[in-house]
Amino acid sequence: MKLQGKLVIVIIVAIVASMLLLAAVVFGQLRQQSERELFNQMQLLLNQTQQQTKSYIDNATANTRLFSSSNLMDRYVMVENEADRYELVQPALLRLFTKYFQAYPEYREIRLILPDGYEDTRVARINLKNLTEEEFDTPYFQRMLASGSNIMTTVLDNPDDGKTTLLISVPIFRKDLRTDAISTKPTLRGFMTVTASLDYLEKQIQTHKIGNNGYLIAVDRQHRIIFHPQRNMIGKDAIGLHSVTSHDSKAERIDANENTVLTQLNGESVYASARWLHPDLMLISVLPATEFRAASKQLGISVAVVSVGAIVLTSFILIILLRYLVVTPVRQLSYLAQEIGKGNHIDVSGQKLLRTDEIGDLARAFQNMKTALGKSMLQLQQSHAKIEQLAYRDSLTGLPNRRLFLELVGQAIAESKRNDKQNALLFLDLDDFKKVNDTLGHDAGDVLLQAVAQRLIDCVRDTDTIMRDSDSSTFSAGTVARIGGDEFIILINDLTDAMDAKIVAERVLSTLRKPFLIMDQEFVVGTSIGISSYPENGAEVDALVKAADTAMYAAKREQKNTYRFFGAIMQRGIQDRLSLERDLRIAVENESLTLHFQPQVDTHTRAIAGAEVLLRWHHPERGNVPPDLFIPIAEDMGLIGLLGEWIIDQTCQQWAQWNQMGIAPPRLAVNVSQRQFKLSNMVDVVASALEKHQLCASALEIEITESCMMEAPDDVVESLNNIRMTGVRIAMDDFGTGYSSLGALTSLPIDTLKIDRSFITNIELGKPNEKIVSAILSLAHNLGMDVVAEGVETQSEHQYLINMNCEICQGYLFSKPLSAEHMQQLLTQQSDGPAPLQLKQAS
Amino acid sequence: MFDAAPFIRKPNRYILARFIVLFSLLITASSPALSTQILKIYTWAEYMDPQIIAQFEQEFDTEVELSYFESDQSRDEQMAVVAGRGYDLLLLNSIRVKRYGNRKWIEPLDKTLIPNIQYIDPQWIHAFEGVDEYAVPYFWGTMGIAYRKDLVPAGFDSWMDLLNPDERLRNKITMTSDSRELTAIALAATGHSVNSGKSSHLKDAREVLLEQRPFIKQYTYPSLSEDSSLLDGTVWAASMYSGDTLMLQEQDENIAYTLPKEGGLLWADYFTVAQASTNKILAHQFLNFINQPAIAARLAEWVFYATPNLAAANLMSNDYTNNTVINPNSEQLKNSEFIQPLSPRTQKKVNSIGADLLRGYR
Repeated sequence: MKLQGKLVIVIIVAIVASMLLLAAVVFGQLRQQSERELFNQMQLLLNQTQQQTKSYIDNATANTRLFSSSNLMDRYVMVENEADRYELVQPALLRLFTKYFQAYPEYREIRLILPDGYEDTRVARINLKNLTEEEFDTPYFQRMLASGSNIMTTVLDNPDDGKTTLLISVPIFRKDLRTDAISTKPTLRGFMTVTASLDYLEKQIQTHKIGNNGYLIAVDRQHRIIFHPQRNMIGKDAIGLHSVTSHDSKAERIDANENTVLTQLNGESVYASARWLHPDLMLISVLPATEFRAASKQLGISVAVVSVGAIVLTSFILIILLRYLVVTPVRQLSYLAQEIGKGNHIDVSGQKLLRTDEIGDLARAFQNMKTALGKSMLQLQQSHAKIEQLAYRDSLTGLPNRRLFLELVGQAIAESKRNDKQNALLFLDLDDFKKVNDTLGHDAGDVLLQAVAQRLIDCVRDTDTIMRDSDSSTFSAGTVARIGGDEFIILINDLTDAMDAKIVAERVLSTLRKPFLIMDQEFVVGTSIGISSYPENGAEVDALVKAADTAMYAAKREQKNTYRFFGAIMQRGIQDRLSLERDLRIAVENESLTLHFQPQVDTHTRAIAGAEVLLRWHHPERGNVPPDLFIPIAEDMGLIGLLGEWIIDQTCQQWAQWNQMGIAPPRLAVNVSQRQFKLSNMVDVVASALEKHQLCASALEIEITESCMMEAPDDVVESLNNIRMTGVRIAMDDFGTGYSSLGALTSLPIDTLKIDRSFITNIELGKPNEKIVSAILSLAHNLGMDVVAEGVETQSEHQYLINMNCEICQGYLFSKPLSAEHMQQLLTQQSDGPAPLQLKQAS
Repeated sequence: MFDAAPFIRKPNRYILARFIVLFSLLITASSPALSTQILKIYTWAEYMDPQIIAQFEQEFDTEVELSYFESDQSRDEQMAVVAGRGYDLLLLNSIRVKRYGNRKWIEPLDKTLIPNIQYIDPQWIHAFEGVDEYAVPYFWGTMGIAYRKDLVPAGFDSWMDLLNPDERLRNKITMTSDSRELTAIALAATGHSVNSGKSSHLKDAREVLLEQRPFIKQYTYPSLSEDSSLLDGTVWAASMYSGDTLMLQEQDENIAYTLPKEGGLLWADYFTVAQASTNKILAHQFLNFINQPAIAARLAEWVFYATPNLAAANLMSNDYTNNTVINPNSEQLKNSEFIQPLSPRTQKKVNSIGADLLRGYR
């Protein structure tokens, strides 16, 4: 059973018990009180009526005395001659009586009665007949005579109409001053009488009730009923009054102070109390005993009804209050406790906090507990977060570290497995981060990493929407993590097509391509991105990361600032790479690499104007390995420096050899990468090679790519300048692909511009590229630079270049790269006769 | 209650009288003789020609002070209280002379001081007990019905017409407040002698009077002034003395007087000298003065009543003499009776009838 039910039962039982007890007590009290009240009412009515009657009789007596003592009355009674009296004075007396009469409507008769009983003067109600004028024989007149000089009052049935009235008689004693001596006693001259009605008493008895059935009666001396509420009782004898009036009665005394007795009145059991109003008139209040029983019953019903009502009402109110004050708050607090237990922060309602009772205390305790819990939970969470941060986060950037990332990827893979989706990993490596670290220190490197991290987060913050040909697909570009010095990984989830990852990759590239401002310096950071995807590239996290890493290397090798998807070839490449590295190292140490030469010709004369030196590696097992495969390996392995020195040395030696043979071309151009400047002191390398082989400086040209040149730190540019100061020419390779600013072009130490093959291919007058090439030529000529057009493969291209006055052409139209032996043959043929290079027909 | 309206005669006369009294007072006041006697007369209002009073004052170098009573009964009450003191001359109705004499409120006359009594018709001196000893006749007349002949064209023939009137007269009648007169009228109307003492007769009279009560506007005597209820039409008929009716007739000729066929009430007024008087000689002189034939004639002409002075009658104008209201002939008076004293207990019943009628009135 619930708390509410228990409480309600307890309360109702308590209320019922106490109410019943209370009702019993109240009933007893009320009953006693109502009995006492009825007795009081009896006495009160008796007292009131007694008082009223007393004052009524007193008034009537006083009035009668007053009437009797008027001046006119004095004169009147002294007129003994009847004729004189009636003719001369009585009209005046009658008028006086009439005035009294009109003033006191309760008086029925005002009379002057002579000592002989003759009714001398009378004023009466007009309908009241006067039966006799001789009153001498009436009992009351005898009493009047007997009472001497005293005022007499009596209650009598008026003989004229039978009504019970009050008669007041005042004897009139007067001396005749003319005849009587002073000592003579006044003579009785008559009686002034007033007959006053007892209508008020009759009315009182008719109307007043005691309780419901109690009443008043008036009886005379002989216990004959004078007034009774029931008219038919009037005139009958009241039987049983003796016990009421006599004080030595054996009747039971009801009240010690008052003479209320229980008696039989006319056969009925009654409580009665008597009071003399007048010696002739007794008033009795009568209360039938049945009245009490009826009253008790009535009272009992009332008390029962009130009690039941009170029980119901009180129970109802208490239940409501209980709900409101205890049960509901306890429930709410209980709910609150549960919620707090769950960790939800719900405030205790303010109303309850304001309560001053125990519920309020409890609510406040809850609130305090909640606050304390909240604080410690917050601390706990913060600790958790910190620990997690330490364990799962990169301390520098705040990004997930490798460990966390691997977990996240594991989850994502599991998710994709369920949803038949794909994931992609983007493995990023900053191309030139070492340079920043080296040149500006680790602090700057840290700043850069943080900036990169921020940009990456920005890149992947929102869910990308990819618009494809017909449908759109969404994916969540989830998580960026830092997993090594300058290595980041981005996890992309919910892909329907793994190729969509390239959108993110392109966005990352373009974002990172914007310069960073580090310590008031702008940096441009190249990025290489390798992309692997689940499930295509593996079902395991490690395999996917490895694949992305591989793809990243592929991208970096091929072309910086680009991305590559992981492919099957790469998989193999990875396997090959170690043996290649080993083989390359051997090849470099054994100098088993060879130089090839691609001739450059005078556009107009087709005479050999020089040659670009190209490195060839003939692998004993793999055959020729293309330079764009092994050069990055060499670079990564740090072999490029050694290799570069070797190439320059070999080029100088070859030229010296051809020079002795008298067939040396005007110059040989050697490709140098930016890395070589880092690894070697190129100025010294060039200078020592020139000196070692007794070479004219102008015979050597250093080619450096436009992008390399543009990205080159100042020291590289300075080295280039120094090299150029020695007379060695500097050529900008792949011009047009690196977005060089023209301003930069003027300040760089450049002698030759080599227009990238992509501009030359299919060039004709009026083609889009034509304007660019024309502009480049015009610019270069203005700056005093020679221009070499690369990749010339057709006659029309050649013709165009002739027309445009481009100085030198290079390409398969004239010659593919040639081994030193074939180059020597070509040189020899040219020196033997002015035989221009045989043009090849482009297909 | 009883109406206290004073019996004021014509206003012009009243004012004139006042003026003359005032004038004589001024003369008296200016006179060196300060031992002027004042003659106090208790009488009806407007019952004496002021010029004659002035003449008397002049001739006797005295001053006359008139006090007025409203009715015979009110005079009797006053006398009962003061026992006849305070006045020199008292005007009494015929039947009171003996009573007043019994009470010793009046003095037997010294007729030597009133030689002009020789002119009085002796029948008036012998008509009532005690008159010869105590009283000098003043005027006599009748009580009949005064009415508005314009409002009651049918007029009145008998007392019964007034006691049991037409419905239109409800609340339009006034009757005398004197119970003796009322009873007398009722007795006459019911065919009895106005002086009957029989209980059955009195019972008849009482019944008739009680039945008339609803028609009564008031038990009072009509005013004689211009605001009289008979003049303004609030009262159409009243029991009234003959001469007073003539006074009202002078103001409105629609006022008529009828001596009912049952007979009117005959009355006579007498002057008496109060026993308590301190100017008894002067009082006698006044009575003598007013009975000079010329003076008596003037007085009669002024009040419109019949004089008992035989010598004066010869001096009267024809209008006066021939006016049958003032001087009804014997045929007219055939059924009329003088009100005579009743036995005491009959008088008591009469008083009781009056009290019954008057009480509860209003």
